[in-house]
Amino acid sequence: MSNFWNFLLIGVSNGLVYSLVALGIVLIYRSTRVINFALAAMAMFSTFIAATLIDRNVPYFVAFLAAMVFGFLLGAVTERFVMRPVESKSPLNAVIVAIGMLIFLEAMAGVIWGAKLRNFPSYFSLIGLKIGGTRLAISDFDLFIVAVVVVLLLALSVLFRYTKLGLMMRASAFAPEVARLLGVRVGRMLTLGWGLACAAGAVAGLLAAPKVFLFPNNMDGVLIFGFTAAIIGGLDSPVGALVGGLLTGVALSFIGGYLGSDLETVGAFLILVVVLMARPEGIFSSMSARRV
Amino acid sequence: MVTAKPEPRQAPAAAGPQGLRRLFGQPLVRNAIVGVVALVLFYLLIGHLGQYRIYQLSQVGPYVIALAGLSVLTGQNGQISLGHGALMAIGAWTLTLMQLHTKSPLWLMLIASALVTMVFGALLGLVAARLRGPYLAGATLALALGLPDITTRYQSLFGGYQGLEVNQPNAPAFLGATATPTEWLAIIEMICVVVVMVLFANLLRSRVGRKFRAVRDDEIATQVSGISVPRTQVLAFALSAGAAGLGGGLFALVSGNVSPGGFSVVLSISLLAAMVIGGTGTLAGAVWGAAIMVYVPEWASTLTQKLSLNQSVSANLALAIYGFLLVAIIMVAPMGIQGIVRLVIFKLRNLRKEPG
Amino acid sequence: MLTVENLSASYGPVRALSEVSLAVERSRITAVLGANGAGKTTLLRTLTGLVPAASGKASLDGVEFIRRPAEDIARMGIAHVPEGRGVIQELTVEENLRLGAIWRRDIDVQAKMAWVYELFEPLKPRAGKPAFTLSGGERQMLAVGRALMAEPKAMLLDEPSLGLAPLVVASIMALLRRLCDEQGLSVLLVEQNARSALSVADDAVVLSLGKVVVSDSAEKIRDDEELRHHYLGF
Repeated sequence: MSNFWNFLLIGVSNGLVYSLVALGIVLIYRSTRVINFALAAMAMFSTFIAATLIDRNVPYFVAFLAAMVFGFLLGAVTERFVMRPVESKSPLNAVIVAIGMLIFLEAMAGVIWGAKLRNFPSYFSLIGLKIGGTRLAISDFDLFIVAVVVVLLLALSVLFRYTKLGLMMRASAFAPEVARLLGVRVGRMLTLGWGLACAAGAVAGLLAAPKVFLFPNNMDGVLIFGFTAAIIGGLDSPVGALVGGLLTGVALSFIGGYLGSDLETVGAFLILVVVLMARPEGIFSSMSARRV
Repeated sequence: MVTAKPEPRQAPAAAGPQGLRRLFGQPLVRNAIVGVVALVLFYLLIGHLGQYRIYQLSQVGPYVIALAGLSVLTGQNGQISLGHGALMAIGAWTLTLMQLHTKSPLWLMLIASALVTMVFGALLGLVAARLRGPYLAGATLALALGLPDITTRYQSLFGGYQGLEVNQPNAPAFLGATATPTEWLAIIEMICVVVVMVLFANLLRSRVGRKFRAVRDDEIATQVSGISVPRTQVLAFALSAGAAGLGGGLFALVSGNVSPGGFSVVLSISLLAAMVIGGTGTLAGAVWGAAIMVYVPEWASTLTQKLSLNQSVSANLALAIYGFLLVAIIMVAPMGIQGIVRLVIFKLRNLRKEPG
Repeated sequence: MLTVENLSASYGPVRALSEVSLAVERSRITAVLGANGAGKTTLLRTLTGLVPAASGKASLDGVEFIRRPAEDIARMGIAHVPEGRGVIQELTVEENLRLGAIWRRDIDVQAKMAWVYELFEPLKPRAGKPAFTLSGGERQMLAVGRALMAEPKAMLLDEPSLGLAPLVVASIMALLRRLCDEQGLSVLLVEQNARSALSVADDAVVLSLGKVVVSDSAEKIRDDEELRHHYLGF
């Protein structure tokens, strides 16, 4: 098995986690024009909830679901009570509030659980799979990541494409005023959107934690790569989030593998510059499509 | 207050020769006088402060300069940057490497940190001119994340994780034998702050400042009226970067050390937050923002230390208070602290106009 | 029946609408005419809750609705077709239509949609296409069709003729008349194009600087040359 294939597979596995974070960013951005930097902290907080439950002998998958629900509620409450009052003023103010939330939540996690690095159980083995005597770089857990992300994305696309609720959410995101005139309760849709986005973030946190460990700012780096992925994809396109995540994950894996891991962050910047020079609003943005 | 707002001309009075009056009417001269007065007051002030207070005060200076640059870029020209921490890093390493490898005088090193960063900022500006809003924020954020890692990649040059030592300059003889390097550094900083503020204040009143704002308000109309939007944006980015670079150079001197940890993404994000809280687009807001960056965490940790908790808890609690305050200030004062100050001044003026 | 009594609204310190009163009976069309900035759009936006009313009342069939949230007003059966068509460009034609009846649980959406496609034949072949691919006339058809999906009692239209070819305008006006008669709609028709609005309207009000300056039958206003010259410019 050559390095090339290993780097590719690791890249896909990491990239799917970035896709989830990117999706969380996109879901919120396209409905409220806010970049939710607090997503990292919300994901981390939800993961800590799962870790606490697992410590108390709650089964892994129950804890997993509980963390998703917690993420959902955290996102919904944040939108309703923290973001709603500032959203209307200016997007920049809302971004600063999100940054304030990030600092606050990370510090509170430090107060509650301590700032120490801790392991997070992965349920599936992290040891590379064996095929015909050669060990691959991907493990059972990576396959689990693929499965979870695929299921989640399918569920979300069914929700958005084929349900009344999804139609109302998309209408609220694209044209809030028109949606209100058609009787859609836009405020509720925004709350729901934040909830879903942060639940996706919680899943990203649960999937990343076994690899990046669990501590109050463990998701900061993942968030920035997820943000990179969202931008590459075009900030308002869920499909773009998936593709952007995979591109980012694979590219960083190759850069890290062939050139050294300390160049990954520089690589992320260069990829972003190259993509944005070619398409200043990302690859899949509907804004640029519409102007044609 | 040094802002771009034009003040009404005083009605001509009998006193004073006409030439002197015209000289005072010049914004550059007036701002310079305000600056010199501030400098003198500052010098008198530090004579009454202990060494630690002076050290604290000198932590504010680099942020004031960097924030002024960021505020001009974002508030006056409409370009957002989450990478000003990285630009400060460039200025800091420029100064440090010059100190290490050359025998340049201090003033030359400070100018060099501004100029080198300005060149880098112009390059970044070329990229930025094609990007808008969150796309620009993302690109600059990625820079802020990536740049410190370059210093660990080339350890022999940049000193790796530990970074490099920076020597603080000794006080010159004319300040008296008792003057410490800390006091001297505070004075150097205040000079830099005054120079940068006066330059920016005048820039914003000039044609260039009007171009900046025109681009911010309506790019298409500006382009149509014959002003090059990309060129204006690159210029704004370069000037803003120059301020960040100078701030970074001073930051290195105050810290006595430059290391990648000091210029993490957190610094860039804190700068943006401080700018908004101070009052986006105002130079006075840069002072408020810088003061908040230094004093609020300090005040919060003093507060939590009194609660006699264990160290990790009290440190985190201080951070939590800081985060909470960020949210609270934006909710209470969407225009930042300078917004409140202006409101108060406005109300007071109205009160004076209509007594009773 | 749609009744408006002494409705006022402001944008900050600027009073955009002052003490406007009017009534639209079932199966009747009232045209709202006036120059740019007379307050026509503000009147509709205030009625449907997008601009807060400063004072005054409005009711539909006796039920007060002013100061309720926009989505509740829509759910009372007041359809507002905003200026610039207001179709959601990113959604397909069919999705836009579905959205029109999204809050109604008691409507056969498929049948309703088939009916709209019959009214506006050009829409049918475009059903799966995003709305930004439609022409201006087709977008207006979609916007009106979408408003009809929820079987509204009152319909407020903001400049449906804007930017359309005269022939298209005429057909849309004729259709409005027909729908109004068949469905028992109360229609409030805001128009700059006074001539074509007066050709279908029963009554008309003329707004100037946010005030009602004339309120009469459409016929009388059509025949009053001086008034037409003064306020309507034809």
